[in-house]
Amino acid sequence: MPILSRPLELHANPIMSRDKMSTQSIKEQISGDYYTCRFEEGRSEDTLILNMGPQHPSTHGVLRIILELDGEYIVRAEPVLGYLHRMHEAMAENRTYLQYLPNMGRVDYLHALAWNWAYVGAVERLGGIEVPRRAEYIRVITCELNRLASHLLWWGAYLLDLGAFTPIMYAFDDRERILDMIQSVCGSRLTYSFFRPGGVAIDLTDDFLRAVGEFTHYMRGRLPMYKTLVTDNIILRKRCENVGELTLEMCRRYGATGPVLRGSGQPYDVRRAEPYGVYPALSFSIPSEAEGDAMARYRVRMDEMVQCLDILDQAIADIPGGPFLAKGAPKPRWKAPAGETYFAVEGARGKIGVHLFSDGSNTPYRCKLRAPGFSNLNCFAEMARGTLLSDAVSILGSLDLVIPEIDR
Amino acid sequence: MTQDIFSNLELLHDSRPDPQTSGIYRMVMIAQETLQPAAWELLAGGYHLEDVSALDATEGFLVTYHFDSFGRPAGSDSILRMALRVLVDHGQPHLPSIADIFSGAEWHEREISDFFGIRFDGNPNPAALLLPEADDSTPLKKAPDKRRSLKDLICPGQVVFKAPGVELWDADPQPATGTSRQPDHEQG
Repeated sequence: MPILSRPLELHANPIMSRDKMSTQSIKEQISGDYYTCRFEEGRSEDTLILNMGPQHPSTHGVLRIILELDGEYIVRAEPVLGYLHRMHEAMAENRTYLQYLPNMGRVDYLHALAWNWAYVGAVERLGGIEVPRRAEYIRVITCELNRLASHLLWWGAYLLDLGAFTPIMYAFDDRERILDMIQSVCGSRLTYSFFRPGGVAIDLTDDFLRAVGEFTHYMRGRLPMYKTLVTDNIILRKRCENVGELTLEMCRRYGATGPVLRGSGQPYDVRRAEPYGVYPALSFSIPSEAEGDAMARYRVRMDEMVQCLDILDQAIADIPGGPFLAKGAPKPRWKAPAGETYFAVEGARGKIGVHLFSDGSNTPYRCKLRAPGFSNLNCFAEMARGTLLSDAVSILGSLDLVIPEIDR
Repeated sequence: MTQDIFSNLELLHDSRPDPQTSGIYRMVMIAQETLQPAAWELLAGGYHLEDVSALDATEGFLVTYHFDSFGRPAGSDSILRMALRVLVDHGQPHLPSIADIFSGAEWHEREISDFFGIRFDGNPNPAALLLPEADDSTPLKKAPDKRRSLKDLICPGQVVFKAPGVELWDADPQPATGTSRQPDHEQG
């Protein structure tokens, strides 16, 4: 069996021939696929077109970026998406409300519980379902643990991109402890579907809460070490400071959220701006940095880890008793009332939004997923213009991309 | 009362859905020609583009631009999420692009082109985004018999303004409380 079902005849492609090629001679010189050919149209003299990805190790997952290089400087950049596209939004339309929940763990596997929360939150808002207070605390505890794990993975992988191999070993050591804890309640280590409309799947035990307490104590000892060994390291600073500057105005035009936005001086966090769950009852601050460079985004995430620990300590102290799932929680064939709803939560990468339309049946009529990484990556082309190729790696890493959520 | 952000524009429908149940604080229907001027007003007013989503309904494609603000912009009172909506005819799936106003719209528009086959005129790079380049399957477009009416899907809440000739949601004017969310449109 040949791998390609049809030969790659680029110029015979109906879409290709429809596009305006500037001259016949350029047409003959161009080689490459649809996106490269389109990109070549705007090329200036004496530049080089370079495809970075989709198999490049620093484009985590399978992101591809077409770059136009003048020497080592980037003239133009264009991300090419779709290598991990699975059409989650169409899947929503042929599944029941509960059957769709496992998809959420697969949209963003690093902060799966935030996606769980965004989806069950939307379903609850649609159906007017009350969540027991204990369940809200269980959600906060597991979701913040997950956020911590996500930031730790970002930290290790980012430094790996920048050429520091050791930190990821430390990050994975810590993350492993979190995954072990989450595994004991969610059953899986990565693609959780632990939340349910009306609560969570199982209750937390006292042993679990004690383990969380021990972990936050342990983690508070680790973070200062990371600061002195890594954050204050001159090589890291040279790779991050004044690299990939993003202004607040750009964030607004692109809709960037999360640490990317907070690194540009805007302390905007959905947990405070549009409160949900029991976050209003918890005291934590929203770290933000005014510089707008890769280092600012780095610092915001490092500070956020401390805030996660604060939230965890409060939540395990305050968690009340009671049921973990509401009495009227939806059954598998549950029908949602007709209507529309939008529910947003703060994920590790920014604002996660679920826009649901219901026609009164047991499957969503339409489900739109707002992925924070989609808008954050969108800034990249403008940020990368005029920077060094090696800085592009630093910029991409500082955006904390998770490709499956961008491609959905 | 501060001046409304759209005071210079002609709206078709302006309402306040119940944020407790819909998550949307203000819903504005506009004509296609008003889309770009409205986007300029929102950019000047301190809003950011949260996302763009489309919906296939009996009346046509409903394209919703969600705008939100990082702080509370002046003149918005307590409005967080605003849904700016345009209805697109099934036979004429074209909309003006707002990618030169809100740069982030470029990808959202390309995504909608992939999924619904709506063309955005003026998009700087109207290539396929998530689907393969030669794919015209438009996976989220529904078969005509599967489409539902916007009246069944959207509860406009408290209507503030309605232009003459706009018939949507005419049959059942919503009470100001916005509590009528019973599943009264059961599909068999």
